[in-house]
Amino acid sequence: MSPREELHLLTVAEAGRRFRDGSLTSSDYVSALMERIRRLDPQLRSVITLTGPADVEIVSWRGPLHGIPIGIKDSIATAGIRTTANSHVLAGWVPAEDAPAVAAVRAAGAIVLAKLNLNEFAWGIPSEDDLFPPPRNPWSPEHRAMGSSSGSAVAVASGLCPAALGTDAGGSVRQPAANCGVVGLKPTHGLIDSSGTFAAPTICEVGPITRTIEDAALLLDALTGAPYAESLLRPTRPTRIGVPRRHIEAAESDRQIGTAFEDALQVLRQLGMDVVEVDIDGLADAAEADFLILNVEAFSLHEHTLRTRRADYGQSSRLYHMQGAFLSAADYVAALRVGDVVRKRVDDVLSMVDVLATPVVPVLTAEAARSAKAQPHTGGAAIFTAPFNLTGHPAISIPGGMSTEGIPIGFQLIGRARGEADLLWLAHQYEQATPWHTMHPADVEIASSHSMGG
Amino acid sequence: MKQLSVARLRQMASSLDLDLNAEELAGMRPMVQDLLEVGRRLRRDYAPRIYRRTRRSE
Repeated sequence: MSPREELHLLTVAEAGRRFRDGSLTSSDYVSALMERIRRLDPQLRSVITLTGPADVEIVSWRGPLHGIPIGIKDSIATAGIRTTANSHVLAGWVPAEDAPAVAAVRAAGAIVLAKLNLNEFAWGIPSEDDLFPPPRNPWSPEHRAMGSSSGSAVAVASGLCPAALGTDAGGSVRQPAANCGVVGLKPTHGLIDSSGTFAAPTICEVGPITRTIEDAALLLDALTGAPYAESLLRPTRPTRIGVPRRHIEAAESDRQIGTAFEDALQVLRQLGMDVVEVDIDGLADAAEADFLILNVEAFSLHEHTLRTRRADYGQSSRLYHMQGAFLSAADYVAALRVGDVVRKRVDDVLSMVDVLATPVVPVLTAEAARSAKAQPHTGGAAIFTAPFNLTGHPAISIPGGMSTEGIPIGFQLIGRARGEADLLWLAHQYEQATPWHTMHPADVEIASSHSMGG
Repeated sequence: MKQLSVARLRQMASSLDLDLNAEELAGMRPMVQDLLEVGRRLRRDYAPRIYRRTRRSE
């Protein structure tokens, strides 16, 4: 491995430090990553649009993201860069304006290196017939990566970019992050301006996908203007962890996921934290209500285009976007009411414990998550993630284990509303006590040796 | 809940001015049925408190 090739393992924080001490230029770093994308991505399929080399002269330093190349999920608008949402509907669309989240990271000096693959419009089951076929999981290339921010998680895990922005309406940042062994943060509802994305506005947040907690904090700094990365170093922090055991057991997770979760709790205990069981009624209802809202808002967002250009949607995406038409206003209001009720219950529990802990997803592979048993259209595979989209609490997926098949397993922590500083601090303590974030997938050099199902 | 038939779904689609073909109707039927059941259950279990006669249990 050449010294140039090792650049792909740099974190955002490390690359920024090297820019500042003069041992690396942003131009050389970007060039190395572009070369890596050209070599590996034909197999990984995480990149939809690779931007050209940018002018990255550092004239006046804008902060830790200055000169850092990042990827953006292709359902988030980028001024002057094609934004397809992986749909024929938008195949040639070049937005005039950045989404606010993109504008924020660009203002902090980040460079948009690539637009990244996703489930069509972030809603539907991917297929080989999509405008851009689904990304492969770099840890197990015979499997696809979980979605919908699949390309974002694959690109970060594979060292194609050190960080990416995704969107999460039911787990679409956290699930692919868990499945690819990286960090995924869904912020508190409304903390980040998530407009300018193709997403259900009531439940969807833009969130960072990174290889470390420190990098997630740095991106959150840029997205909000608040000093989350600094707060990782503060000494006094949360120590009481609540485990909603009844909800977790009802999900009947894969045995390896259950084992990894118990191991993660044991690490927290060894760090001196108090792990207690809590009961929150209605979390499963909240997952279903979240997906009911997603269905209704997806139809609302796409109704005009569905009526005029239905054939331009892929088969699955077309059906997924239309089914919300059949739900009533009373259904939608009831789902919102579930959010009010369960939010209060979660708040009550979070007045007694500092954070909640759960697995991220009950199954190991994207294929299992899309099975009939998982009922993706009603949120079955999102049983641990979607409740907190509906309630709006911040939640983070951290690398938390490895299956015997070599597929990463995530660990989720959920915090109080606007409690990202505590959440990131605790996640950082866990990360630093475990080896998972130091593991990287081997380069995927599969050419035509792996075939994917349709 | 009574099973949603393709004919009933076609009727519902027609009332919404959605011109769905047979393949689309067949593909959507089980998913729409699931969603309608979820909606009905949530309307019942999370009815505004004034109408609730019994405490719901999970």
